[in-house]
Amino acid sequence: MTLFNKIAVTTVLILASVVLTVDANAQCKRYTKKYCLPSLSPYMHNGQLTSAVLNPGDSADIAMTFNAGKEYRVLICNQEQIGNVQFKVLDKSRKVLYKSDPEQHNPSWDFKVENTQQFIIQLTVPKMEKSNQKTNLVPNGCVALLVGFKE
Amino acid sequence: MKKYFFILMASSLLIACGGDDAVEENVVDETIDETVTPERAEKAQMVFQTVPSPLETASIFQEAGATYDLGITNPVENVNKYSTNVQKALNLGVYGADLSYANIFDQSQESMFYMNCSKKMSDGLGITSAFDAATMERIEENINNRDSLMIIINDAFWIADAHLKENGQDHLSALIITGGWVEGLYLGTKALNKDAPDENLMQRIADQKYSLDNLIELLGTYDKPEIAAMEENMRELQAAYSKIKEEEAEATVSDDGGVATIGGGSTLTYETGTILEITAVIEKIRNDIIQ
Repeated sequence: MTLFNKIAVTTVLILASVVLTVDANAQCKRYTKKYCLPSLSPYMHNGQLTSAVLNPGDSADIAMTFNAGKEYRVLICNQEQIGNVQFKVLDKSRKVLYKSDPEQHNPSWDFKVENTQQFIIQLTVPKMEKSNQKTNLVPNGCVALLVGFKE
Repeated sequence: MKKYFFILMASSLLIACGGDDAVEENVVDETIDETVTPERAEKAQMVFQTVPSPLETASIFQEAGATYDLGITNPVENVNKYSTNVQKALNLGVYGADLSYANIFDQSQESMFYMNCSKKMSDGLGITSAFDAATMERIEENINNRDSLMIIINDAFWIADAHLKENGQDHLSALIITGGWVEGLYLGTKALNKDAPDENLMQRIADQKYSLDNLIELLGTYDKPEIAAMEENMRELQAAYSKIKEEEAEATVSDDGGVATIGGGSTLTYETGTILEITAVIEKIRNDIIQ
């Protein structure tokens, strides 16, 4: 393959991956609104749409502020093909305050804080054994973190 | 490419990284997660910051005793003053916060005004889908239904956010967030009686210290001159906030069969003068934005 062809192929692959990523994230937002938001009820959604397309084995930390006097629901919602995404709530020193049940799909936790606090919500997509994969392609899926509050 | 990929991922507010092998149980325990130290997490940019929405901020200040004051929001006639995309993005955030403020206090007529201002800013940024005809119709139908209106407002701002991110204009999305946060805090501080400041309101103003840190972290991920200017403003505000003392104590979780309560953790202590200084700085920043 000539250098020109290599560059052309690489460019096409890069553009394709960018377009696919953008499209996947748009679809992820639509999925979140349609399938995840209703589970926040009766809590009022805080207005932040936090979602992304993740692969098995991925994890993400999201820093969030929780205000005194409010009751919160933290909800993780994800497409089934990547298994049960788990979450932990960590304080600033990374002490684990809560861990979700690995067996539970779309886990949530309701809590309130005595003082306004900054916590880290840590999401983990379980790793997938190769024997469980239907094809050689690594599956990915939409993962959303939603927070609702009530007075 | 790596940078572009990072921007795309960051735009979704989640940064992916290596997973954790440990199998977890659904119990609250006292163990420290040693797989990722704070330093390592920050270095790898795995921690992503979020900023409370104006809706939540308005709700916090309402609970703390703030009352609605039409005279402190961004005048609707200002809407024609904003010509650059930076001004439009910042003031889309500002009008969005004014909209949330009016809505939280059940001010239907004002909500409609600020919805129209938000539409104008959004259209000006080329995001006509956020406040399209169908959305405006839904708004009119639900103008007296606070909860439904909040859902529609959220929806419109998500569309705007998604549009900007999908078109490589993440920095404008960050400016919308910044405008909304600044206006939310400004409205809260304006409720403060400087001669006899309410303790509850001052505490809520102090609490915004955490969000400000997150906002500065967020702005720091963009390498754009217009973002750098706003980050500088925020650092000026952070200098005032740095006078608030933060004391750490161990956080504990108690569950008496109802909703879990997290006690302990960080507490903030401050002088009244510091809160008044914050009030002055945020007013200056906000007035620069709406000029």
